[in-house]
Amino acid sequence: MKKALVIILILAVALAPAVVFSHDAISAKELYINADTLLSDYIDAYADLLESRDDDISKYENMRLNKKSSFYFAKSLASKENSILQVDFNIENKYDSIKSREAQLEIEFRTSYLNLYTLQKSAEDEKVEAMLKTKEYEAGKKDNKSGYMSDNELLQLEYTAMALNNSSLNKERQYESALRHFNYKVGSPLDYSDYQFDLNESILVPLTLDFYIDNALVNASSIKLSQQKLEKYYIEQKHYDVYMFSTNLSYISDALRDLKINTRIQELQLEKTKTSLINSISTKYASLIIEREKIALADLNIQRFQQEYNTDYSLFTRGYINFADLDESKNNLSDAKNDYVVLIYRYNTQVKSFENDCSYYPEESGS
Amino acid sequence: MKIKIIILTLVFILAGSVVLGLTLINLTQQEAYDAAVENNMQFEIDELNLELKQIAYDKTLKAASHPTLNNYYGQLTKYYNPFNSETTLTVEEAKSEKAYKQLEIDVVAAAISLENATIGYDDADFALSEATQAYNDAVKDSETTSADQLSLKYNVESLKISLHQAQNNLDSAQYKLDELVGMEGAAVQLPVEYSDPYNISPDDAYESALIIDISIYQSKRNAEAAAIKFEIAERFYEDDEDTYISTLAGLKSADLSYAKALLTLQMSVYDDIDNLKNKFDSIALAKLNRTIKSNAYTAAKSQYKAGIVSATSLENSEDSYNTSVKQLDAKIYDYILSSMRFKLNYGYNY
Repeated sequence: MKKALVIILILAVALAPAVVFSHDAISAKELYINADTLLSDYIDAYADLLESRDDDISKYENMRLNKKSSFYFAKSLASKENSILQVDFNIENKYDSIKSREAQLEIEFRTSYLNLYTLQKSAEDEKVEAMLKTKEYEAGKKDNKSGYMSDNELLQLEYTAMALNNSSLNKERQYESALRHFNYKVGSPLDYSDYQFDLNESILVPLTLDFYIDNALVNASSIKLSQQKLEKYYIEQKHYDVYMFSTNLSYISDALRDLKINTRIQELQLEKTKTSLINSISTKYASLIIEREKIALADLNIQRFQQEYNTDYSLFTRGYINFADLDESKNNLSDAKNDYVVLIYRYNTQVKSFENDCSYYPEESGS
Repeated sequence: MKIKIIILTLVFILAGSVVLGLTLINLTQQEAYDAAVENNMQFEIDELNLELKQIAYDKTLKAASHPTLNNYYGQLTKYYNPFNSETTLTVEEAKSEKAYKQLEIDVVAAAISLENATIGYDDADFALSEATQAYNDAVKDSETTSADQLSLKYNVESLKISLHQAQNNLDSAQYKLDELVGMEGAAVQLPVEYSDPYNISPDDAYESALIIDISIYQSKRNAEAAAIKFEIAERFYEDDEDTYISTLAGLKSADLSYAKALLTLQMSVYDDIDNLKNKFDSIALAKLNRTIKSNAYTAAKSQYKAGIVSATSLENSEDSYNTSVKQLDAKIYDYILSSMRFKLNYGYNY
């Protein structure tokens, strides 16, 4: 059964790139995640731990017990039980590392993806702007020849057109550089020059704050590690409680005292970790609500610019404003719509990041 | 159980109870500090860790008191290990003592953050009520276009988000203070007095820092420990030449680290004195600004009564004055916190 799981895991990693090339947006994410060497190490280590689980457990089950005294016997019994427990702790912790790393990589991917989209759009906008100014300059040359424009005004137009062309080239290079870095992260020389970014997503609806807190208090690695340590101390204490031995001997009383102190430290640390986790989750959840409200505001902004555009269109058809004014109005509306889409994408990334902080990994996750 | 209480507290605070009129518990700085000491879980952890360090120290002393082999490692057990263990214990004790004093600063810092968050909330609330009024007026006014109305509505919605954010900041600041002092709805009197950094003698401050600074003590003890190790290795040079060479390198490195630590400390003391002076000077400037704004506001009030300036002009003048008061308070609090940190870090009062 475990061997089958290992084989499935290995196949999943090996076949991932093959899946990638057939689906654009999703495959880029898969490729990004699967190119990560740390995740690959975690998966290998997890597979090794799973494969060796039975051997490891039987090794500890056959551990020789120290029968020198009842104290040493209790100590070796505790050591045996804790070692067996640690085998499954290690498997569980490694699995958690894989889930957390995958979630972290998805968030990284989404951030890079958004960055590429923003850079591409900015480069395209700047290119259009530069073209318009170049046309204006060309028209200015004719006006200058006809005596309607001074030399200095023409020079000013030439300067503006040149500056915008330079800026456009600069932005295009920034975009290309970001693409190169992205390809480097993906680990594949894919040609993304014609890549069409699609940020359209529906708004993710987070679950309740109580749910996230409860989930984190059970699944957060900081809590788990602390609890595992504590559980081992309790097991040691349990074995000491079963067997009778004289506490007059200093090495015994020292061991019991040290165990008591360490247990108390761990209990306090656990309580502190829980408090700080609840505080951090509550603060982040409150921020998420604000971000959600910003999306509603962006929606209102679209309505505002839509109304402005409708008014301007009516004015344009009646000849009260020129085409440039109408075009500006149209651009404002287009920008507002774009902001809305970007805001949702960014918000969804925040939700995913928050859920990762809460150690909550929903099975279904879009790109 | 405690976790449930924390969740309930957070939910309660998130519901905006503080602003809606939760009764605040007013505390003096001393009362807040005492409550914070009582409530601090980390102190219990520190004390237990200190106990473990004391145990480790006792163990090394015990091991040193037993007959040891007359070789390099035997002599390390006798002389070097107890010395090192004593250093670790003293450093832990000093850190624990400093943590108690640090708590005093944490309480004041949390109280100041709460004050700032309260001001931020009041400002956001005021801005929203102004914008709402403007929007309501526009709705009633038949000459306002629907596009303008929508624009004003957008402004109101945007300010609602700002108010929500300010509310979150306020809740968070209140929660931090409550968590420190272990009670719900705490309010702490803010410090008002502060001393003049031009009275600081840099040399005296440095001398004081040399005595109190934990890292200096640690570096000095590390250098002394390295010397002990080297002396032992020197005695057994014939048996183990390599160890002698490595301990000599260790001694030189530890001496160098100590010399560097002294210079770093001196630099920090002098830099921090300069920073204190800069902050102190900026208070004087903010005071002057407040006086100017106060005079302008007084003049605007008279001019408004005489009908020379508009109500808007008077309001602007009042806003400028209020802003200058807030700026002055912020500068004073910033200086007080820096001054408290200086006194704690270098054990120098001025």
